Amino acid sequence: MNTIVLETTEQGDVGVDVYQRLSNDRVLFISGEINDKVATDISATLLLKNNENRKDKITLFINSPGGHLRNVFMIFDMMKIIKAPVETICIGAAMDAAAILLSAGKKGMRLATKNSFISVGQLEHNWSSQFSMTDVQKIMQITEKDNKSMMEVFAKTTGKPLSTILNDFDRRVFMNAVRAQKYGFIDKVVSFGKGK
Amino acid sequence: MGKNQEHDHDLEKPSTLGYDETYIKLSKHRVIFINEDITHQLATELSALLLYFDNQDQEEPIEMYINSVGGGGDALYNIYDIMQLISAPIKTVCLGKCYSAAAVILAAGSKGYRYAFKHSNIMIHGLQCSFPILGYDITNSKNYHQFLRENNTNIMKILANHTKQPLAKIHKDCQEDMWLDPVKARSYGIIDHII
Repeated sequence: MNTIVLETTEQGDVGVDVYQRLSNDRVLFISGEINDKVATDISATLLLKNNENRKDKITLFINSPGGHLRNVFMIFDMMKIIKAPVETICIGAAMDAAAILLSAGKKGMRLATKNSFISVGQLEHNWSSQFSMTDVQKIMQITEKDNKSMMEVFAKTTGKPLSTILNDFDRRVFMNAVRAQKYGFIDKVVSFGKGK
Repeated sequence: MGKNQEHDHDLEKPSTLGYDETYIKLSKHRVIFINEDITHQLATELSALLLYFDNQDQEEPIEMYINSVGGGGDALYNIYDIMQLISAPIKTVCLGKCYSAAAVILAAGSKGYRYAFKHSNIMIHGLQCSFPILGYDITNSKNYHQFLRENNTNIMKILANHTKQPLAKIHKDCQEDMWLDPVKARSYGIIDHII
């Protein structure tokens, strides 16, 4: 689909990419799988927006099935480092690692739209090739550690004890916006505009 | 995300016959054309455009011309929620076909602003899924099944809300594919006018 819009300037109409245009207004989008490119782009843009202005909020729209934990923690850490408050809004879905980003917004600024949902489960490892036993053990250790750090983040952001989190997310759980609010992933469900 | 559109544009020029410019120029008139499956990517592009147009002017209607066979549930929720969030009225027009998710988007336009072309076709149905997923253990499957049922009810509620049909009737009708021509769709409440 066409994402270029025409902006009227002194030099006449200029075509601008709508993502670029919205990022000028401090609105960013995370969509689809969080791969290296998305993670680097978002981290870099967060840093830029923070350097431009440290007072105004940065809005992050999230609709993602997750991604590699290294990439997600890259964005997470950047969100924690910068001074500007980050508002997160879930539209559609925030699954697994994407739920980390959603719950990592500034307290009171974590939102979700009415029909969106969150899904959290244990970390899954995608075995794409054959490994020797030693390698498998190493990978298992890393994955276990990653899983623990993910659950620790959830414990911190939802304000629940780690044992409860580990128990609840032993198997995959699906939550709609209202349940996610009760659980503490988000602070508010966004209500719709008038006359709709 | 933030891809280099201008660069892509140059590469694709010979194959697209240069019609891309039409859509760019139409964006000045707040017109969006949807002619692909409802996917994550489309949902994000659409929400970015809708937010941008809403930012520019909250009174002037935004026009969405739809010709799509539908797509995924979460992408639909993404688009639907953004459509309801923004203040500007949204005019939806069914060009050729609006099936499943695309029909929900058509019906979700502002009241009195939903149109269909005379020879277009519309189809609504419930959530489709390939349920027994190999490798999911029984607790996972239970949660997932429950979640799908909730989702299905949610979509039915959205349709009932916008068509003003009773929820039970929508549930019954959507158990199978329900095909509607524009006249039927108008009496069902999915659209308001036939062009």
